[in-house]
Amino acid sequence: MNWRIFSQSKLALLGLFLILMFGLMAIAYPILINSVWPRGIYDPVTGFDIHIFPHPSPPGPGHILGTDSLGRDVLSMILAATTPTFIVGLTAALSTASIGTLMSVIAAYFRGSVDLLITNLADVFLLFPAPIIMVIIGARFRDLTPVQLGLIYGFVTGMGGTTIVMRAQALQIAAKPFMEAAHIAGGGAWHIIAKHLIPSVLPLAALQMMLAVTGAVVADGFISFFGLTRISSNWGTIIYNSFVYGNISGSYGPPWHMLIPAAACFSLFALGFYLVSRGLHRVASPIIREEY
Amino acid sequence: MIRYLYKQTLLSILKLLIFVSIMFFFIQIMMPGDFVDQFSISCNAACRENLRIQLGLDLPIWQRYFQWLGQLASLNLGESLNGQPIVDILKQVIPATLLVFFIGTIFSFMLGLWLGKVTAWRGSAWLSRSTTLLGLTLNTSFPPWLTWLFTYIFVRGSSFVVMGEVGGLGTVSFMGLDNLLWKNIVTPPSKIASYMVISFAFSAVLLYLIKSLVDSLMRKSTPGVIYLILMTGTTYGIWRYFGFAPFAMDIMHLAWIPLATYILLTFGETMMIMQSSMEEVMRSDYISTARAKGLPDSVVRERHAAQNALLPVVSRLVISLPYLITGVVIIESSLDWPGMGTTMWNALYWQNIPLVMSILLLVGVLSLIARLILDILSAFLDPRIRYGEEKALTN
Repeated sequence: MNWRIFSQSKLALLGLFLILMFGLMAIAYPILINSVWPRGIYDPVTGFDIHIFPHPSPPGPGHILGTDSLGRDVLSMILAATTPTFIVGLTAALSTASIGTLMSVIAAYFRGSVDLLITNLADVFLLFPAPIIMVIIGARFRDLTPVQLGLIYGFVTGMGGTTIVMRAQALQIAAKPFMEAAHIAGGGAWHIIAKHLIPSVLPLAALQMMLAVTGAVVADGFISFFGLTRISSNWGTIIYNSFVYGNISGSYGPPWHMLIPAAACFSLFALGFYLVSRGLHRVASPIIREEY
Repeated sequence: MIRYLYKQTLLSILKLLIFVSIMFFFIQIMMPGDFVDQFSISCNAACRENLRIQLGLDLPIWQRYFQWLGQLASLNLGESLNGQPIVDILKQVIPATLLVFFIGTIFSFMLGLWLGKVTAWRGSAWLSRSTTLLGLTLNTSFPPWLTWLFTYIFVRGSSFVVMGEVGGLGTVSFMGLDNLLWKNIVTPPSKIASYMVISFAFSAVLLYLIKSLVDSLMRKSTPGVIYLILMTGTTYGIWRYFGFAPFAMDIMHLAWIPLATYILLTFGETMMIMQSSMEEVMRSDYISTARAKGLPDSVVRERHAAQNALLPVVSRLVISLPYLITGVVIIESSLDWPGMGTTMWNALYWQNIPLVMSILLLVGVLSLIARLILDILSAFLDPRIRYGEEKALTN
């Protein structure tokens, strides 16, 4: 039934399709690099094709998207960047949603001074610019893994914006009659929170998760664009490399075969999650309105 | 209401203090090295130690923190580590940022509201679906790429500075202005930029008042597009009247690229929120009632649907406001626009901590003020919201 509401929106289906496509890309990379592509030529970091001159070369046989100025295959770089991006996005999404759900539910259940503390804390966290925090931490610990980057982003946004959005929803649900009924039936605080409050805010948490993916992926791309992580394969790095080493103002013109795929991957990846979140919003809102 | 605002202002100051304190320690403990380390080529260890003592960087961090707080308490932002008073630097860079981001926010907000309203009203027609897709694709596109694409298409041949390392020690300044024009004038470009912002804000408020007067007299609302065009016209008129139009146009000649990029990047979000909020409102009973009364379609859309759909958009804007600083940094530093974002990015790069902290403080103050204004605005939009009464908020 939920699927029917979801699939009514063509855009949400498009989003799902995009995510599946990137999933396929992530799966395809290890298979290709281990079977079809010789490592010496197609490695996303150290690969070099000596049969082609000069680099960067436009798309052609053997290199579907051409090569970059260091002679690496662009397609292989783009495919290699898919898995880390997924990991950053999903870690950020999960951590944002779990922190946001927990904080908002506690605030909505206990009210009073606990609520005051949590909302004000969320206001403070709202001021923290997550990508800049990621840059600063990245400057100290150069070898940040995608999981750590995702966790940093998820923590900052989860404590801030997500908590504020979800608290409003949780407050509405906590004021419903069935909560009182649960009290009268003798339910303890944690029982009510775990069994009644959290399930009711979960649809909203899913929505926030999808939005966090978009934000985290752009932030990750931004800091890789400025070369502040050691994650060598990222779409942001590809764009940066084509700006800097790609003869952008030279007589050859910009290396469109590097720029366009990388930029499109960014847009479409974030777009996929955004569209799915829109579809989920449609699924979630009637449930919240009608069932209680 | 007054008591609520009073309490909120006090709380805001407290929050701001917590924010800057955390950032103060966070940046200095996290980032390796300090400001003096950049001179390690021209200056040996003893000389660097001297510099540290001169700049007060040899003191332990908590001592520097209390010094800085004491300075703040006397409303003195202090000096940047290269000796310039921070107030002077801020005076130079704030107008440039406001020029792009204040005007851009207003334009993208109105564009987003209008598009969201229209696309939701049309339902899932082909045109509205592709508009949604376009807005979202722009919204999720990678900012440095979009700024580059813009410069490439429209300013072919001009060099594109990727990273704002330039001007880390000195101040950033407008590049690419017409030197001949600016030769005989004493007023710096930043001052002209601040005049431009003020005249824009003035004409926006003026025309908004006129618009609401006309709307209430004519009993129907004029389209927002006309309002935008009139606003632009009036602003230009003010520039002409006070005689700085050629200079302003010279600045606009540079400013329109970050402005356009910013609008294209952000209008999608407002559009999406407005769209889903409109969809929810359109399902409610009073819309059917209004239609059953035989009111014309446009009146139902503007008066009954759009006005009620505005509240979630405004309250959502509260949350996305602080993220503005990230956007400012990303867009400005990829275009080397001489504003707060580039300055902060450079200052962070060189660990010019007093400057970084002042800009963060300023951004915090601005976003908390904006938040208070939006609080008042949402109470104005939704009469059910009465601040200071806990119950009204929970229902």
